[in-house]
Amino acid sequence: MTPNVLLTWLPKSPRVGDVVEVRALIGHAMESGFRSDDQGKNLPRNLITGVSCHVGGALVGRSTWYPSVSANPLFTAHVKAVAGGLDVAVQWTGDHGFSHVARARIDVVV
Amino acid sequence: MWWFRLTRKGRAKAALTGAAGLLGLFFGLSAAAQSLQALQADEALNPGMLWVSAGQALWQQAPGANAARSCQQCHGDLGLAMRGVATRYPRFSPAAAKVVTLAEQVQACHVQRQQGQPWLREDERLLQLEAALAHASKGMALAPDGHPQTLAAVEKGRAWFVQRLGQLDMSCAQCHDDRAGHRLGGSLIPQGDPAGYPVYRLAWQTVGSLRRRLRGCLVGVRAEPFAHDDPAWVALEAYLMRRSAGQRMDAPAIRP
Repeated sequence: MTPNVLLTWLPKSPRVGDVVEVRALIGHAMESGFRSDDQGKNLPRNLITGVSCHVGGALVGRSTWYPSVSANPLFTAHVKAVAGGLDVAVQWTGDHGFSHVARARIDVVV
Repeated sequence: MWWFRLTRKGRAKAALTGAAGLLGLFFGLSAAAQSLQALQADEALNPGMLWVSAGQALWQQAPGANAARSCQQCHGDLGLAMRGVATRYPRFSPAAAKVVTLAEQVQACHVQRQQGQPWLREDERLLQLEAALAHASKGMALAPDGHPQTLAAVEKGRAWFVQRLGQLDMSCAQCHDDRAGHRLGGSLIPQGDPAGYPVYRLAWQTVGSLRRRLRGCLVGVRAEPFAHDDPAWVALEAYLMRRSAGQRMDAPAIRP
């Protein structure tokens, strides 16, 4: 199932040279594998184990996630606005072959 | 804080007449941790917005057997046509001949018009639509329904609110009227203000309904929760809405 993702950035209309904060929020249970259900059965581990942010093909931020990361985790990266705009791609990978990419085009005011 | 300058009787009266919200007697999230307030205020960081955006998408889809019937086809644009709707629930529904909550109205539409299978009470899709509807009324004052049947439910809810329950023999009022603003085991005791529901609760790690919160309180005083179809749930919700009349809606709120 496609996860819910909110990919936003601040400032909304950056100027050349501004530092842009890219914020990526993803809806995910981040089930640690240490919990059990009402019947006492183990809830299988289901984690996002890694997230990365590429801008224009270049890696600008990367993080490895473990069971203590909360559900619906937030990832932010800071990039410098350049003329011609920014092509942002945030990729999450996780257990059971989970992989999702969110893309956005940030227009930069010259 | 204003709230404490009133006697208990005064607080109950102000709450029931709807004056409390208008006079700013509810402190809402203003007494909570700054980090929580910041998380709630910024819609790019607030995880509850995941449910809102999913609900906005679902609004335009047809999740039932009737593939030609989306919410949008009957009601129109969510942000325009549905603005203010969430401020009026629970309200009397002539079709159901009883007082219904917003979630129950969504459910009725889903089953009757969209011919869908009924959703479970905390179904993600139901919460998503509820969150999107509540968000469409963000910043508007709670304006409870004045139908005689709803007012009767409010009275019943008020009776439940002051009724001592469970092994701890405590009523809602003992915490949320008398000791609101104090601390219970380090946590702030809120006033039981429903204006931010459905909320993203950090303890749940998900969005949940007001009913789930009420259920948690009942279990907390070690009372047996009402049966799922007990009108007491709706009555309590109706009373809480009336009690907070005038409060600004701020769903999806963040709660610890």
